[in-house]
Amino acid sequence: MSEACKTAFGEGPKAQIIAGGTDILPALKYRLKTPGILIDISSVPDLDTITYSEQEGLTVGALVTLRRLAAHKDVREKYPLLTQAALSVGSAQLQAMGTIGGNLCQDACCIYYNLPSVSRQGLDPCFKLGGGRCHAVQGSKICHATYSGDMAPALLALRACVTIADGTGENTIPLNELYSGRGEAPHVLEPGRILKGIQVPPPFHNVGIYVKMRIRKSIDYPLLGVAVNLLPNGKDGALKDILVGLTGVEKSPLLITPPDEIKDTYELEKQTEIMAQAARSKAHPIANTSGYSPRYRREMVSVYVRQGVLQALEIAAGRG
Amino acid sequence: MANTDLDSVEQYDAIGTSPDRSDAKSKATGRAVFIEDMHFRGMLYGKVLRSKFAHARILSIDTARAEKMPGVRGVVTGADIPVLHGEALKDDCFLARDKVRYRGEGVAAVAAVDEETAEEALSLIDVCYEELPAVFDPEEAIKPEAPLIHEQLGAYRHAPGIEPISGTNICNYFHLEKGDVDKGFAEADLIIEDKFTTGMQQHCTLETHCGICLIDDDNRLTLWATNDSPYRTRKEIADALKIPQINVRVICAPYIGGNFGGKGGLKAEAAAIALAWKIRNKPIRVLFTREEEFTSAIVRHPSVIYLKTGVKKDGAITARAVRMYFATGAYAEKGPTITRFGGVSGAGPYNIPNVKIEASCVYTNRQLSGAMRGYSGPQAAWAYESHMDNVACKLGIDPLEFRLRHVYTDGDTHASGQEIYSEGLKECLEKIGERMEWGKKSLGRNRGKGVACMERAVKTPFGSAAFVKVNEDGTVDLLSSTTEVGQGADTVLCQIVAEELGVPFDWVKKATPDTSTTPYDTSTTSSRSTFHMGNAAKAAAADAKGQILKLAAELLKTNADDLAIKGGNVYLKDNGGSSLSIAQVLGKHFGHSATVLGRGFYYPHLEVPVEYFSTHMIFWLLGAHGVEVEVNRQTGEVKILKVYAAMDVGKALHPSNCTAQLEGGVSMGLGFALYENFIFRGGDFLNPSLLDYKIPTALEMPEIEPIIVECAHEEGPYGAKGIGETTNVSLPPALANAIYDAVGVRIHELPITPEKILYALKQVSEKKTQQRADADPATVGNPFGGKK
Amino acid sequence: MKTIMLTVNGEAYELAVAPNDMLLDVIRDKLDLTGAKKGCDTGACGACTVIMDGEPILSCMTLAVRCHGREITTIEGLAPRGELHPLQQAAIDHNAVQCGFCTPGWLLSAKALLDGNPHPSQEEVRTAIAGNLCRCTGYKKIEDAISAVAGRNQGVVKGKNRD
Repeated sequence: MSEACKTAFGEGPKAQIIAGGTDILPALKYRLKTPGILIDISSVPDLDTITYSEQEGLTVGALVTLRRLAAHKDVREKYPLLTQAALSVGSAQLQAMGTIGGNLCQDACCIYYNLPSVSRQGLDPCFKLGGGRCHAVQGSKICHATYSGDMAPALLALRACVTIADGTGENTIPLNELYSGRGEAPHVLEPGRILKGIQVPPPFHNVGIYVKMRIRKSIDYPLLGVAVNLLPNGKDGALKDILVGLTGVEKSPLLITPPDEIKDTYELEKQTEIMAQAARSKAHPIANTSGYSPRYRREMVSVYVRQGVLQALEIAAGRG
Repeated sequence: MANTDLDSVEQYDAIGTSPDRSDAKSKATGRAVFIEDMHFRGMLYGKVLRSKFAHARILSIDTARAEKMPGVRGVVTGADIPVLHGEALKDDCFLARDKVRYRGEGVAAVAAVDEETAEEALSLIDVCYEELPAVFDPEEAIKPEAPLIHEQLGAYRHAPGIEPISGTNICNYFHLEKGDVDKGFAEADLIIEDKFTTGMQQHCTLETHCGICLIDDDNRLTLWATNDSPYRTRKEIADALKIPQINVRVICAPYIGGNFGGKGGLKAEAAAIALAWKIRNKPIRVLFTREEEFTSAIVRHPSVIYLKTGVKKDGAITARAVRMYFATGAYAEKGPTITRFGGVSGAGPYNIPNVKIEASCVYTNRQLSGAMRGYSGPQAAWAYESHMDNVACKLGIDPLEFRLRHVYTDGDTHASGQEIYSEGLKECLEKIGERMEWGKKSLGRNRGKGVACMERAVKTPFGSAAFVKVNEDGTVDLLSSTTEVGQGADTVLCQIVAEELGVPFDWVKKATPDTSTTPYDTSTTSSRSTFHMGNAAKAAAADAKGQILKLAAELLKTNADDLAIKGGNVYLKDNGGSSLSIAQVLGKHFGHSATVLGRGFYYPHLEVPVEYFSTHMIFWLLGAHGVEVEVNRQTGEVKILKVYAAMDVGKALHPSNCTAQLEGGVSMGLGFALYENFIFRGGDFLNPSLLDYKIPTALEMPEIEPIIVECAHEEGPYGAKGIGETTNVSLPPALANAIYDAVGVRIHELPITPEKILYALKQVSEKKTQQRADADPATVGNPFGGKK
Repeated sequence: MKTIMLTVNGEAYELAVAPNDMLLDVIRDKLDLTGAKKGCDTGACGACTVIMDGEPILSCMTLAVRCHGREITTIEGLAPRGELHPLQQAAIDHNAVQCGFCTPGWLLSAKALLDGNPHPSQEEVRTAIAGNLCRCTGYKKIEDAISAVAGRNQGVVKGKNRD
């Protein structure tokens, strides 16, 4: 690992890390990225392990494929939200190739950016291509490419942390600190720093669900992804706690924590509505996808949060 | 009479059974050869430089740097091949000359030792353009102030019956009148008007377009292609290059990875020919990328259709006027004949005494529109079948009942003036009504049922020829230029030959089309092959059989009339016991040198003879769809509970292939109805990939109930008609009608997205709260992305 | 160029590949195994699906240099030469093949599914092949073929020629 970090550091921005390859290869084929070298981290030891303990929770190496993660016994039993999110990514083949680390570090998407060469040639280079404009939001001074990974909202709602290695050691940060909020470079990893693994705290009595909006039920990126992780069985059927993760609606995945006012109510419906509106107010989808208008996607944020809460409660009721 | 009918109930050996497709095994084992699997010694690889402007004058092209690049064998531009080609209207160039008319048009091409080198060389070609104003919307393009896309329109050569209007962007204007519409509207109690639009759809064959061309120093051209119609292609090339047809040989790849109308004309072939015209004696391959499929192959015509119908209170239709605009893109391609067919069927398959139809084929600065499954049918049916429900609704009549009352049946007169015969459409509708328990079973809240039907012309009158070559061992080669594009033509044609000749199905093999060996066929298009080539193959088999029986009669010292062939054996009709195999018959006459060649040709003769694209048809493609849906009022999402698909196939020669077509058509119709769309912003085209252009996956497919209706055609082989282009056409309006039934919103613009439904629902509830009576929220937008 | 060792359909190969060579191009152009197809070249159609170490993968999105030491099954290796795998036989029997361009891809997706899950539900079958686009069939006969092999419909499987 330290060798990979050092090489990456030495090469600087010319180098790109490759894990499963499903995110970077189309970008290379479309010549959106022209790295001098690709650093293949697949031979780094111990990046493909999954461990679970009641005390420590779940630790997943960055190179664990989504298919393996989804199928892992402890993940299926203790973190069904993760299984569900992993099985919503792309297609079966993309799940078999794509890794959890790669998915979290997935580049932000934009219909004006992710274009093959012929179709792109009529467009001036945008911020993400090193140019000086954003085609999706004309007149904007920044890039609005949208983060569209499916795993991040689920892991955010599970309060996961990630471990980052550099040449000398490693440090662990909450997952939301991995994201920069910048469309042109959505995560904060500078050259020489590599995502090594993910830690998810032990499950409590929480229930999770991932609801994904997309045009087709396979292959597609989320036009909106909502992960709901809640703790039921509060007073009078209200929620004890709830976290919502969002994807596909901003330059970063978003973690929606319960606003203070939620504590003042013990009514499930009000709590749900407060979360739905909180999520909606933070989502700013723009017209840079191949499906549905920003207006519709934003409106659906609250609809999907409500749906997610209901479905999670149904699961909780089923568990008895 | 009764006796004759009984006698004619024949027992078939191969017909009506569903033998394993003759190509299934080689395809399931990965051994089937497609064009991208073919390789020739010394083959060069071509790549095309494409225009970055929708409309621009080409000021200069400098290829010097590209030509000097190592590995490059040549660069070609439009100036090297200054000729025009096209099917109905010769307006297209092999590579752009003087100006480019759409983003993605070929401007220059490079041939190199490999694709990578060719691709890299493209970046060394410098083109200077002067951008011109562009027009994208057909209704904008017909305005007098619109930029003219083809200044030379009046000078182009074209087929008879095509009416380009010089000095405009209209490359064909079709007009049809029956009765007196003004009188009809004057008699009406109620007049209902609607506007409907459709967007672009691409064929998305899994195999992309490809052509490999070799031209030698003597101007002899060989083209290996994924093309659906080798003879039509040969003529188009020979006409354009002004070389004799005999010097042009078109050979199809053994298998073509999907067609749906997309692989006719010169697409990848054009660039391969242009390169080979300059770089002689080398086979040069041009294989389209997936992006080029979207930007530079062809698409289904976007359309704008206006309908106006006059009705009596009792439901009698007094008149219908239809105005249709088909946006054909930068070059006519098959637009003129598509417009003609769209016009002929524009009023729908209904008895209406007074009809007026106007259909215009309009140039725009977009990628070429051309043939695609349905050939104007999906656009026309989307409009007339959505409109039929709207009219029925305004009258308070059940929409199925309304259709059954007006739909054509035998003896009626079509809007085109032709007498209707062999029309099984009413039966399709009735069967769907039965299966759906129409009017009986209610599906519950937010659920609804819809039905729609369609007719579409088969291109008439065009011929097909076949040779049946009986080998010395009794096996049979069928020489026919029908292409196997996935539809199962090889199998059904072999079935026909096996049946007619009396040999087992697996003794018959169909040859790969090659204009130097397989005889003439107009095209593998228009769902015409089973009928036309089926008739030709049947006649050729009958001819071969006659020759064999004559030879056998000499040996058996009897009359040929007393003999029959079954299972590959010739036997006396009276005495099944004594028989000779075909191999024995031939062997005894000719030793080891035996061969018999049967010849067959079919050309439909009509009462009103026309040379090119008649408005009277030898048969009609007929079918109907029923759809059951549930609409989510929170999200606008539509869940399809079940699809019923009934098609009149005349006679199901291979029933399993018929249901295969029905099911595949549902998926393509569903894509058009719900998911597929080209996203434009001005001149920019933003979703040229299978990721962002959404064709249905297995998870999008609803339950399907296929219903085969057999209303025999007296001239069809064993009564058969065609099916392929029927199967997707009426699904979108049936779905829209079901949505209306479920939640009371009418969508006028394809595709039907959840947000269109959601916002239409909101409009309805807003209107309701405002206590307004009219609850019909038409959402007419601009699907062409142009600036209004 | 870099030398890699690859086992394809049980045969070991030593191949010199460029760093940017894709596995699809290597198996098609260097090994002449042309059953895997290039439908989109960007991982969105599934026509290039092969099985690598038991997993269905997209060979157009797999760098050949990263396949050193891996075991690959292509459509040509699905059954011993001259024989048909039950899935291939079912594809023929259920008329699940039309133009044939997507056929090798979905057959390998189906094999990967059944190897790990011999009795999948219909939903699992459809999910497993959802990454294999088919424009001809509407997928129904493909699902029938796979389900027949899975034995899910034992006794009520539609016989050939009867559907």
